[in-house]
Amino acid sequence: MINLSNRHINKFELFEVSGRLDTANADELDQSVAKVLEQGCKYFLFDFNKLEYISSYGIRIFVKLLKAGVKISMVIKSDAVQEIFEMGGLENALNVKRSLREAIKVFTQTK
Amino acid sequence: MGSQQMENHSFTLGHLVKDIDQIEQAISELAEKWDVDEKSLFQLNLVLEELISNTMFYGFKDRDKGSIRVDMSYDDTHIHVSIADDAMPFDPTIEVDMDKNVNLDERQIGGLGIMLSQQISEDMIYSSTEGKNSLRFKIRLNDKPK
Repeated sequence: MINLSNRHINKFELFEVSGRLDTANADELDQSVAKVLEQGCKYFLFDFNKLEYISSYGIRIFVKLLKAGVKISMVIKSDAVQEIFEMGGLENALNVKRSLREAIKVFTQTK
Repeated sequence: MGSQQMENHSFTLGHLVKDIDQIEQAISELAEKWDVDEKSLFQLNLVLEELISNTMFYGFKDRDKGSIRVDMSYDDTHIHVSIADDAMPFDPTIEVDMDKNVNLDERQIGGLGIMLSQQISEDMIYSSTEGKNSLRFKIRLNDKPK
C-alpha cells in the first residue's frame, strides 16, 4: 500500500508519501515525480513522516532525480527507514532531516 | 521462558515480480505469530525483498517458470533464514562495488539492494548445487524476544 499526494509550495514541490515504497508500490511515486520533473520543477521535498518501509527499489527514484539535477530534501520519522538511507550513504546528498522545518530550510537557503 | 522452541515459517513464491507482495504478507503473519520486535521484522522484510526481487528480475529473466522457497525461524538472538530457488546461479555474497565516497554520478545504483542485504544480515553463505541456489543468513534481533 502506498498513498501519495503532491502540491507546489513557493518554489518547491511537496510530496507526502505514506505506506510502503517497495518493489510492488514505488512505481506510483516514480510516475508522479516524473510528471513534476517534466514541468521543470527542480526542488523536491518529500514528507516521509508516515512512511513505514522503503527498499532499494524506492531509493533509486531519488538517485535518478539527483542525476537529473534536482535538489532534494526529505523529512523522515522512522528510525528504521532513516537507517536505510544512512547505509546507502545518501543522507547528506538527499538532505535527510528530522523535521519539516529543517527540510524546508534546505530550499530557502538556496539561491 | 529463556530459550523457547523455534517456530518455523515457510512460504513459496513464483518466478514473476507480481508475487513480490507475498513477502509483505509473510512478514505480517510473522508479526502475529512471533515475539520478534518490529525493527527486526522490517530488516527481515528488506533483506528478503532485495534478494528475491533480484532473483525475479535477473535470475528468472526469460524463464517461464520457477519457484523460490523461504524458510525462517528464530531464537533468542537471531532470525534464521534460508532461501532456495532454481534460478540462474547468483552469489549475493560477492563484494559489491559501492564506494560511498564516490560521487553519485559514478556510483552504481544496481548494487544497492545487495549491499543493504549484506550490511543487515550476518553469516551469509551461498551454495549452488545441481542448478539450485541455496542461501542462508541470520538477522540479529534488535530486542530480545519477550
